[in-house]
Amino acid sequence: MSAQTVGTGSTGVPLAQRIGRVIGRAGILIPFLIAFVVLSLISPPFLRFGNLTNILAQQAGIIIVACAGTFVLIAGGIDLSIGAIYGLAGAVALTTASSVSSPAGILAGLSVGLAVGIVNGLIVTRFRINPLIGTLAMSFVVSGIAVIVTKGNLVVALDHPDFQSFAATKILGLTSAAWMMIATAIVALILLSRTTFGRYVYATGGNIQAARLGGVRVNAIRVATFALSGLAAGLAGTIDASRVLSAQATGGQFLTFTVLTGIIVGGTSIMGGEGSIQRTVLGCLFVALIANGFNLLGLDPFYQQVTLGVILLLAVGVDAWSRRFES
Amino acid sequence: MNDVAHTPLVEMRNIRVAFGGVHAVEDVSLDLYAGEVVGLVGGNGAGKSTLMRALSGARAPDSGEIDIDGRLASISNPRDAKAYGIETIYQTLALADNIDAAANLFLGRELTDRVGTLDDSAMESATRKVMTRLNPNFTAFKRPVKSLSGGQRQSVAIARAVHFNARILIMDEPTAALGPAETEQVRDLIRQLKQEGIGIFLVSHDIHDVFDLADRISVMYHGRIVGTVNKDDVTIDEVLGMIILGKPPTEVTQKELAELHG
Repeated sequence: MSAQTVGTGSTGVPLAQRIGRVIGRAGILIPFLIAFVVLSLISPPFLRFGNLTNILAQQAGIIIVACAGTFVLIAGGIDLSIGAIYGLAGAVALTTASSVSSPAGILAGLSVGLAVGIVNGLIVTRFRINPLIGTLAMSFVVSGIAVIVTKGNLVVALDHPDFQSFAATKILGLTSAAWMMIATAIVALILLSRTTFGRYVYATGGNIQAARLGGVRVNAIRVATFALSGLAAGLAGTIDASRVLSAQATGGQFLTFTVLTGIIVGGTSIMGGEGSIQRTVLGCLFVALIANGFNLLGLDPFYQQVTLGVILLLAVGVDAWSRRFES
Repeated sequence: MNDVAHTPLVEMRNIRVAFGGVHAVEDVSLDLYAGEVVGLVGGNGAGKSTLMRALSGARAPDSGEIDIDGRLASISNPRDAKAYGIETIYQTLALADNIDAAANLFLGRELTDRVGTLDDSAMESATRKVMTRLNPNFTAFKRPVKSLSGGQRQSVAIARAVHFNARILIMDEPTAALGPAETEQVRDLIRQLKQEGIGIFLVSHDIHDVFDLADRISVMYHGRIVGTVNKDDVTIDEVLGMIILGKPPTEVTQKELAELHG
């Protein structure tokens, strides 16, 4: 509105500020590339096709859930029930696959995830319960149901190899699980960055009041993000149950925190309004590289956890630091 | 109002809004003609913003009717209001900070291409076009609006109304967060929009803003309209008396007037 000059160019901008901006923009790409190059140099087996595709196959479930979780976080929510949904969906899918048929098992796994996701969304919007608490409570409910359904046992279906083909079919050198992950990431990328739905997800997380006044159905958007998250957790549980033909109610115990670590290390803000699918995928792969590196180098897994914790703290710290240079 | 049409652009009749047991707006009737600025003034909690929220669809009234162009309108949410050509400019809350000017301008009404994905370049060029008219100095098209100054942000909000051909504009404290130069620019803009035949409700604490811009002034007090006066017929002191005492100038006693000035 005024003729005042705003710092548009980089002329006269202090060096620290410029570095801050560049780091803020490149984000997780830099540490990801460093980890990749360092691992290639110090551990020759790292670059083997088998090792890399193995990483992708193991990460398939995590990245699928993280892509959907990115929508939840950007819209200003958080979903702590993904691990529980993953466990329940895997158990239900496998049980149904062995008692009915493989397609029925897949459908059951996805439906369970979608249903819990929608319930999460309604808890947060209709009953106005804080998403952190609402989904934490739901994670207990869902885990409990999973234990009841499985009677606390490991569900195995080694006599149903046809169900395994859902996730373990090799296509062009990659498993179908890895291809489903790639497809999910591409769909999520387009949905978030190129559609009105994605725009509304950002606006809802940026300023829910402004979005509502702009005519955006903000509650429908929030329910949709939780539904996507639940559906993705259901898909991931089904994929991993199919991959190893076994499932356990507690199978997703650590998934929630692995996924959130990947999303946040990638640079999606826990405060909502900012983030992207590219960053989430890189963040998850970065965490996977660190884990893979520890395995290849034969380091104590205990240090792996310590390292991940420190990386998570660093990611949040760098995010806060680079944010200072934005305006 | 000089030579405006006989049918008011907006006619609000017997509007009531209650929060719990509190009557925030009590049986208020108000009208607005094309090319007219009606100033809406009153103390804190007088019901100005609540009344305007009923018109903008942010809070449906509990009873009462709203006519647009002489025909009964049904406004129960912001989308309905926009369909009637009603746009609102808020002091705050108006913009999503994390997205750029074009994304804010089209928020809720995005342009899409043939496959249904966002047409960002079309939205940006439309934003550039309307900005050239409103604020030629504006260049920050690619940045999230959180990095903009208060005046720049307000010009984005006004651009939104202008681009969508608002016929009825609600401005709720449009200059409250702005410096003197930026305030003057917003005032110029209001005069320009009025010239173009847009009807404007101007809600303001700044009595000078209102006297400078409004044709008529409606004073609210405890949820009711104290009176609506032609600006040229009253003095600033008389309007202040209405705001503070809650009665029309003719009913104010000498004693009350003396106390007011005391």
